[in-house]
Amino acid sequence: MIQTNNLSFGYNKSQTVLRDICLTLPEGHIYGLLGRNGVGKSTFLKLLSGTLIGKGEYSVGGFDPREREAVFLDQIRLVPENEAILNTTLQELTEVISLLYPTYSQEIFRNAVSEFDIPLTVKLTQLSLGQQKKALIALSLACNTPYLFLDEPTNGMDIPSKRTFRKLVASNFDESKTIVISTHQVDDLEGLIDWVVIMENDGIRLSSSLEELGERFGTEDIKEVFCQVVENKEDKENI
Amino acid sequence: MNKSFNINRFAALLRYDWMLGKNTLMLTIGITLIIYVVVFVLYFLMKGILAPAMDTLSTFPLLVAASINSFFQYGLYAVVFAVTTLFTMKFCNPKTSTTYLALPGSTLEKFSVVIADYLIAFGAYTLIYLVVFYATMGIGYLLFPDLDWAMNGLAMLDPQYSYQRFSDIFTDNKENMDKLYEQMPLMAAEMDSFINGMMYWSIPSNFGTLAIYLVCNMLFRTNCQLKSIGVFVLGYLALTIVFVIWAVTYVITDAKANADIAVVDQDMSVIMHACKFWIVGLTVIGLSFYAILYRQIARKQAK
Repeated sequence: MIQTNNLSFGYNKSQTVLRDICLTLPEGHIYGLLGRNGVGKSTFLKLLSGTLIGKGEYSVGGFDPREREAVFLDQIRLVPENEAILNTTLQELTEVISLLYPTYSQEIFRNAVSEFDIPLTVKLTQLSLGQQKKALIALSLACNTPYLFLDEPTNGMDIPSKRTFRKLVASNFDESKTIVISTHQVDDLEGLIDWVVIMENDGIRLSSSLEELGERFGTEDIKEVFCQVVENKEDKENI
Repeated sequence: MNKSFNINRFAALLRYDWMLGKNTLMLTIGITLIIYVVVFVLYFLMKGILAPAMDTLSTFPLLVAASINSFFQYGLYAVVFAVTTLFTMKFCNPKTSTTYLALPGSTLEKFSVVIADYLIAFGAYTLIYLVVFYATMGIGYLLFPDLDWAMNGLAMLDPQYSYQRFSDIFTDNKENMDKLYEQMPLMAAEMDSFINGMMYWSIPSNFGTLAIYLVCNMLFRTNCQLKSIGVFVLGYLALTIVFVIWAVTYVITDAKANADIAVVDQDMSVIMHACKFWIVGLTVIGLSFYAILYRQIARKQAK
């Protein structure tokens, strides 16, 4: 479970990106973290993965991410929007990464590589942006960690690859896992997520399962709900 | 212990590091060693061609040999630079820092990887230097067999020739130590001198320098490497100025006023004591900076 209680963060004293975020995300869901550019979605994922250190109380799987304990880090996998691309092949990279994650699955890796059709022996730096993205997602899915945080994972992907991405994430998901996908391209998550979290500059505007969305907004169309929530700030209390 | 240090995780992080920075490390070490090969070959050719036409004790090759000797130290600083570049990539580069900080590994393991990087680079550099030195020396022997190499400053090319032996500083039994060295085979004596020189100067000063560099790297948010070098150069200049002022006001003035052997001996004794404090002081300062670095890694944030 992911829990935050008055989580705040600013890159400097005058610029607070997140203020008093209170959120509970139970395990066993694929969360869509939606919001406009610059509201702090990436920052939020970095805080959860321990690469940024925030104020307030927050925990992931019972661990305080700020401590960055090895036993915590091997349970989470973060795919940042702009991940470092090493001058090495996917084959070499996976050999090292597999040693770091006890839950690593070679089977998932082989399947993802085959589905995405990524070359194993070509240096990552020589691949296109979309292929690099797919390679890193394949690697992260193979880590098979209880917590997976994907930041704008579909950026740079073509339409068939986005479909493959949704298929792979769904097929490798089970009730013991928690996946948080941050994006501003709401369409890319259609049919994949079962819980929506909408962020705005003033904090979390909505955290709701898709079923509840239907009851509250009369539609399960995420794009429609997103527009309603973001454009109708006065409704904050009702959400 | 397994929670904070696992040898398999450490090895995996080290392999990841190698993938991240192998180009930088190999490039720096490679360029430095190519310079050495060129310098050594030029030196041996120069010596072989010029020495027969000059006196046996030619001062020209001696000066060249002394210069090459000091290059060895600059080469070691190149290794420090390569390691700090690698470190900067890991912790200060916006892209790599996020990925690296999120990799499974405790602070102790990530800190140990930094130390291991340095030791591997240092060991590799030293080993390759010695191989280059003895290989080019061997070629020199083959090309000019009639030259009296022992008399022409060849020994000065030995990386640590000009440095005081470690044992000389910590023992009062210098005469017996000298006899012992005279009885040793040439190669063994050279190696002993080399190892002692490493312990005495290279490792403490190089390792201490690295710690200061790395702590500086962590303090800056942008252009970490450039700013760290700037701080280091300014600090070095400040120390040099202090040393020059001290030398001018104390040593030279004192030596002029009391130009007798007893006073000079006394001054040498003061310098030897200063050397002892230098080794201990540098080690303490270095360790303190490593403690600060450990804390910095624990609190480091991605960008």
